[in-house]
Amino acid sequence: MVLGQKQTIIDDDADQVSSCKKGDLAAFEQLVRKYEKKMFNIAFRIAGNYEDAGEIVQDAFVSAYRGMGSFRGAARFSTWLTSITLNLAKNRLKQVRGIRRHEQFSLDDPLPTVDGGLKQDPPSTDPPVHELLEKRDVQLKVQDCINDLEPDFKEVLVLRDLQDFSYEEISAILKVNTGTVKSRLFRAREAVKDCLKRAMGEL
Amino acid sequence: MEHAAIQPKLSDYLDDAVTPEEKTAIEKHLPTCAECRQGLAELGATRRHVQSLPEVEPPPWLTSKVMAQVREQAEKKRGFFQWLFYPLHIKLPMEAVGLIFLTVAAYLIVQKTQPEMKPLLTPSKEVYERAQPSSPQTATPLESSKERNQIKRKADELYLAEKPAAPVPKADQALPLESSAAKSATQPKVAQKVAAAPEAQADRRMRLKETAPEPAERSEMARKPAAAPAPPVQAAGPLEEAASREERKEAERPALAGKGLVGKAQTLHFSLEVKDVTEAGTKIGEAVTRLGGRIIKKESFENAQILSAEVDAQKVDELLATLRNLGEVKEEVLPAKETTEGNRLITIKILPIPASP
Repeated sequence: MVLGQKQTIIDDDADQVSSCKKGDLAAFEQLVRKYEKKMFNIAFRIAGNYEDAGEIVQDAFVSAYRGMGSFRGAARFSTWLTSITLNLAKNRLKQVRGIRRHEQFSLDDPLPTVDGGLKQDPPSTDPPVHELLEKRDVQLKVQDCINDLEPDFKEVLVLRDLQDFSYEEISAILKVNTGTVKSRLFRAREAVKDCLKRAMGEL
Repeated sequence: MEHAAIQPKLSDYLDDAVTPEEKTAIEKHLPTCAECRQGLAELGATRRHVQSLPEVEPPPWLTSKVMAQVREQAEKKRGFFQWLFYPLHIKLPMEAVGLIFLTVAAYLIVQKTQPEMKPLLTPSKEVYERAQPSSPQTATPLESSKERNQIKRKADELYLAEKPAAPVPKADQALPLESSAAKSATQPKVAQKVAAAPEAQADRRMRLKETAPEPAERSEMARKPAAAPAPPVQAAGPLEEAASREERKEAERPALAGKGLVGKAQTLHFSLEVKDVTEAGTKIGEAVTRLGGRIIKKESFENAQILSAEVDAQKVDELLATLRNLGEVKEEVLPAKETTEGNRLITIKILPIPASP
């Protein structure tokens, strides 16, 4: 089944892609409109920052347009585009981490992060905690826990549980085998589970 | 399946991404293991929490911003293609213009250099052709030496006769380069002239061999075949060198003088064998003056003298008679035609009579 899928890739975007290769900007705009939200959400969950996500998505589409000539249709356009977005998001994350390592840390009860540093606790721009709904509070905690994941685990979790990509698709996007995808996903879920248990007391 | 093997599979089980066998094993194990049941429940809760995260809406300007950047890229791309192909529109005409320019330049250069080359290269050829209009092939180096000598003499005459009439080479040759070129052009002529009378030269060499102060050197020279025409100018002893220098000058003289008096005929070469070289030289000088001529140059060597004189053509015989009175005269280069007009250049080599063996 897996083999059959690999051999006959049916790409819904094939027409637009071939139009783009001929220089049809309208076709490319169609693709942008179709995928910008998905790519923005991936970028946002990986980078953990709204502004960064916007820049990542712009860069991703521009480099997709530039690389359109080298895109041979070995994978779906969406897979290829996701791969570009993820790489840019991870690069951005590396840069940001490098910068923010020297930034604000919580003075009260600093939490150790996975990579041994102190958990970042920048001043919140959100409304006061007592005004937040409980759901919102949980969501923030979940996002925090996702943010704490190592990039390799984070991307698998985002792609599977947030973007609902299949194991095979994730395998194609990340260019790793499905066994690796499964084990990374298991460890990512376990880490988030432990993180949420710590943050909320119980699940 | 053991508990330790089951636990990592719970995540996959949640996604229904396990094999049917694994699924059976897990479902068989779960009722017996509270830890695994709790683990699965927590994983499920975690997944629900993660999935509960709302989708964020991208900023409304995202599409237009992306497209603006893409259009910029497209412009750059087109610019690149233009840069790549545009030159073809320019390149080809430029290459064509360049080629035309080069061709014209080359043509002009050739045109400009040709007139300078003409007086240097063509005369002898033209003259040869004119000298033998009926049989132009006689100019080839394969014919008999007698014929060649005749032609050469005619050619020389015509050449010399032509020169003053057309003073182009010297008059035009304001540039030092050109004049040197002219000089170098006369040199081969001298070599030819010397070569024209190989027997006479051999004669002279033999005589020199007998009388020369350095017999070793002379004999070496004499050993060289007389037929080889090239070396005389370079390999000659001081005397011969001087003689050939004289000849060279004479060849140039008609043009240099440009009076129209001299140069209508060939230089006459005499060699005179006398007992007293100095006395003979003085007497010849007197005789030349008496006959209305003038001594152009007098070169003295050890036991020998070379006199260059200019005498009226009609007085040559008289001078010759005087010379015969002084000693044994040998006429080395005979004039092809007796010229009776104007002055003649005469070179007289005065040598001591070789000691009889």
